[in-house]
Amino acid sequence: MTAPISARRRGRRLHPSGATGAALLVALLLASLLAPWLAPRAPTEIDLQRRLAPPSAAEPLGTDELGRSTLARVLYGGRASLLVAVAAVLAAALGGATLGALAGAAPGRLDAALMRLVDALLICPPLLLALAIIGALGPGLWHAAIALALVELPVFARLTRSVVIVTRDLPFVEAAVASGAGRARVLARHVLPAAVGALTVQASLTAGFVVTALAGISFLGLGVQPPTPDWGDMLARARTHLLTAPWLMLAPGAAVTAAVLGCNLLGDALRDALGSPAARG
Amino acid sequence: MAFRRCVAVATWLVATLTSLALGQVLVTALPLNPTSLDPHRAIEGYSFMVTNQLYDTLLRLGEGGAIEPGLAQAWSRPEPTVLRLELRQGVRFHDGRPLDAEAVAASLRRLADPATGSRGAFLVAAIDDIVIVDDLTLDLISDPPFVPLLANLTFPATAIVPPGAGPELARAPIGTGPFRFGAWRDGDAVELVADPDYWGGPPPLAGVRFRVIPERAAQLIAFRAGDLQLIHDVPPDAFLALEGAPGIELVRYPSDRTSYLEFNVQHPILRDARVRRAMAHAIDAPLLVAALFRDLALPPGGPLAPLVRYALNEPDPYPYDPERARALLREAGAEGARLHIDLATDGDLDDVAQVLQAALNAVGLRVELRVNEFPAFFELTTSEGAELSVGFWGSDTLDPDFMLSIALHSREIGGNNGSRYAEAEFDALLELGAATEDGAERAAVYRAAQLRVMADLPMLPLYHHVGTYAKRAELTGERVVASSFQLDLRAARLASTEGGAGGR
Amino acid sequence: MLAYLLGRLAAGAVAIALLTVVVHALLAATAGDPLVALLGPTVRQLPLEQQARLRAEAGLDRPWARQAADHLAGVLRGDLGTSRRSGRPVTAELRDRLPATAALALAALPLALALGLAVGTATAAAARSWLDTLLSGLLLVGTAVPAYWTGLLLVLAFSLTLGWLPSSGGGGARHLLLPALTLGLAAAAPLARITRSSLLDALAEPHVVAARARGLSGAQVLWRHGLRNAWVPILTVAGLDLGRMLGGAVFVEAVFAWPGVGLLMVDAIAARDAPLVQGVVLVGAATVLALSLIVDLAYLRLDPRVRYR
Repeated sequence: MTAPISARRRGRRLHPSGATGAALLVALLLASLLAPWLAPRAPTEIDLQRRLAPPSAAEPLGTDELGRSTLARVLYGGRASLLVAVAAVLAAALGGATLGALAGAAPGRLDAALMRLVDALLICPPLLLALAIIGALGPGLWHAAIALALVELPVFARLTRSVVIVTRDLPFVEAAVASGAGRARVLARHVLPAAVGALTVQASLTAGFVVTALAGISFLGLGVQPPTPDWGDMLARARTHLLTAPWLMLAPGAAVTAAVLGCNLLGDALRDALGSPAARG
Repeated sequence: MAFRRCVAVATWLVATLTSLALGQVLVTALPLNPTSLDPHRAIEGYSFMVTNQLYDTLLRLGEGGAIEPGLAQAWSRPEPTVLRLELRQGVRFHDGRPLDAEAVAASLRRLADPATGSRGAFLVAAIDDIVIVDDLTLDLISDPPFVPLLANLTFPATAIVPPGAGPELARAPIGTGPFRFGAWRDGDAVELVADPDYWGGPPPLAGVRFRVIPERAAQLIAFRAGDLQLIHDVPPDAFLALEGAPGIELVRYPSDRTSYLEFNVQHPILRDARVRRAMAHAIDAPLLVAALFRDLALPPGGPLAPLVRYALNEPDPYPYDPERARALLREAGAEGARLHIDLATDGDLDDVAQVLQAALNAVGLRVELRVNEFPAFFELTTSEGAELSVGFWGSDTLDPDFMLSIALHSREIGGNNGSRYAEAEFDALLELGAATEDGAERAAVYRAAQLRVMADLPMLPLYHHVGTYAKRAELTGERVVASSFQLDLRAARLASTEGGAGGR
Repeated sequence: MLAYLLGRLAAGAVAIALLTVVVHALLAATAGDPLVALLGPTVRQLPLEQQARLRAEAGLDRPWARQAADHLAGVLRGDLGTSRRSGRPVTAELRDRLPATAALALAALPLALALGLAVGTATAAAARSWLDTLLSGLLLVGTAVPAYWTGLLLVLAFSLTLGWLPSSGGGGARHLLLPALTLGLAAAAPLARITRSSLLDALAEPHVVAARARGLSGAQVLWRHGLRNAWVPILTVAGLDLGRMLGGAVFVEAVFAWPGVGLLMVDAIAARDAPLVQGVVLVGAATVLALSLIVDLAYLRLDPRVRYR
């Protein structure tokens, strides 16, 4: 989809919002990593005598339908919802970058074939394709992560390929190749810096979607398995008890929102600062 | 194609207008879109809930498991191997064709035919031959005699379909039941219209609308708002939330369902009976029942629900005793064993499975849950690699043979016998029970069989369900026997509130 | 122009064909025993020759490349196979459910456009004021809120607490309102943001600044020079985001039990119904292709400056 976009950047300063975003993300990541010390009890500890308790001093977020601590589950839930999402994005970025570099450096036929494959994957709405892959692999948190990584891989591939193509045609690169330096080494030395910036921006922007999608897939019941805590799964369970314990759905939803907000703020700020032409989302 | 659609729309319009003019339409909910309205192809209880209004079975279940006439108004056994059925006169299918012995024979054969792919084929597998005696009489021959056949013929999957019915029956059902097919808006609702020519007399209701509402919470909201007049299988928390609400009645009924923890008795760790008994002692069934179900479940009294004929109904031989559990595990050398509990995504057993996991881990095991959609769950739990699983069985015919045979007879290994339990003596008991007429002797046989199950523990009963449904006070005359899909609306009526159709 | 569009259509068709084959291969490779999927687990209790006969009758014993080719040929003919769980043609299942999803999308679209454009314009016009800060902040949060949470919050507010609207099910306007609102809100936020940023870009162009200096009112400037130049990136982003919005529809349909194609997909996955899953993917891809072509057509008609090779 090509359209002439006014490429005039107004040279906005690096917003302090970027730092806020980064801080938010780091805070959430730390909270999930440090969960054992922050949580009042284990997230899978069942207490049948104290089910669906409203927020109190001992349990600031109340308890769920099996008496488990909602606070603990939100903290530990970040591991499934946030850490795994980040892993998926990294996998997509690395895999996509490899594929894109290959396509950009490869002869025409291979390049064309790879790009055809990439186009085929891009033409389907990403969530539908991810769901189809889960349909094949079966439900599960890591299956969902693999599915999302596969679905986001094409964007990174396209991006890397553009950078490689632009770089390889630069005069000094051609000169270096002509004077005998290994093509691969030359590309690596000159492409890498250019690509890393663009890839980082794209990764931050993609991360927002992947966090939402991963939690959403668990919400649909196709992701995490009980009793592992996960924000999406918590929302699905909270829904069954919407009548009797409406507060249960507030914390996990807020957690997802905060994580996505952090990713978006960071991504936007990086994009503005680096002035890169990364595609949105 | 377009013409058929016009006809469907027209029928629906007529149905709605008629109901507005004449009587009330009952609106109730289904948890999922039915897969088929062909009783020989339907699998799930909610599909049967609909087919039970469209079709009739030869026999019906009454209170306490009594067998009542259905399409067959009388039956007898001229010889032990022969079940003679006398059909009602003057019954017609919704398309006008008459019901006779030939039609019934054809329907039963269709059910048994592997090409139909019916999961209910086993119900009539014991029939070796069908002999037409006259227009309205037929003999079902089973050698050796198969006593549970009578009860099996009350099961919805054995309902009678018109002769020559093919796969199109799934979307365009034609039966002999009190309601005719109106329309099916896929994923949204199934509309049925009263059949004025029904052999049992025209139903007081003008029609029934089954709305597909997957979320229990959503069903409850719609029910409270008056959009639904009847909802089934109300979960315990919601039941209590509804108690005392004006204009609403809550009904509890004895149910034929029991939930179990099933063991693969050929598994290297689980094959040791001490391990299975240890797990039984690790679980506090009364607390589980009290906390998760209040009075909507009963602590286990044996493998079969108390409603089932000859159910054991005795105190739990494995009371909660974590110390004993630990000791048994030590003896068997199974401390720290890693195991999986397999679970299907039906949702209702989710909480139970998590409580079980916590209980088993508390006595030193390392148990993880594995949740899968039903086809994958079925594969996992019927293969050689099966471990533990949580599920429930309904003894839907209220005859003890139904569940014990499907779940625990050795011939079902690889199929429904996920425990891979193979004991020749137990098989012999079941076969004897199936060939013995009801009476003291049959009772003794099934008592022995159930005691054997509780000693060997291929499956551990966890609790017996109590059936629930909630209705608006204007609804009267409905009948539910043993299981939510055995919903009988022939005599149901909706008192008009302010006039107009009873559903939105 | 026509040549360009036909070229794009052809490229899109090739991509969809390739996608179909890839998804088919993936589903076939992970299916387990397809005979069990077709006729249920009890089929395994039949004698083996009978199983073999049934397998041959259903064409399940051919090499997968052949099955994939046949499937693709079928798709070109309009035959998407038969749904495993219901036995009906996939095309019939899709046809039953597409109107609901279309209704949802069509109801959400005007809301998204109106809200997105309005808020985006307002923040651009009020740039750097307290209103801008407030609205921009709200927009940032709004983009981050997942659609399924929005849906639940709306259900809590309007169904449970106020009791005004039904919380689920298909049906008429009353049932459509909350799902459409949820989807519309989800789509409005990114639209508002891109409207704001491209308006700001357009408004900073020299000739616009000059126009302000010449005394044109803020509103006139906004309309004549702002929006009319800014619509290009807005349309681009709207087009790109439509793909994601279609995905969001799955979540909205799940929250509200809206009987559309998204919910059909979730059911199909639960039932391991491979032909149905493939059918939905096909429909999704075809929709995205069609929408992107419409966006391109819009460019052609509306912007005389745009030319294609």
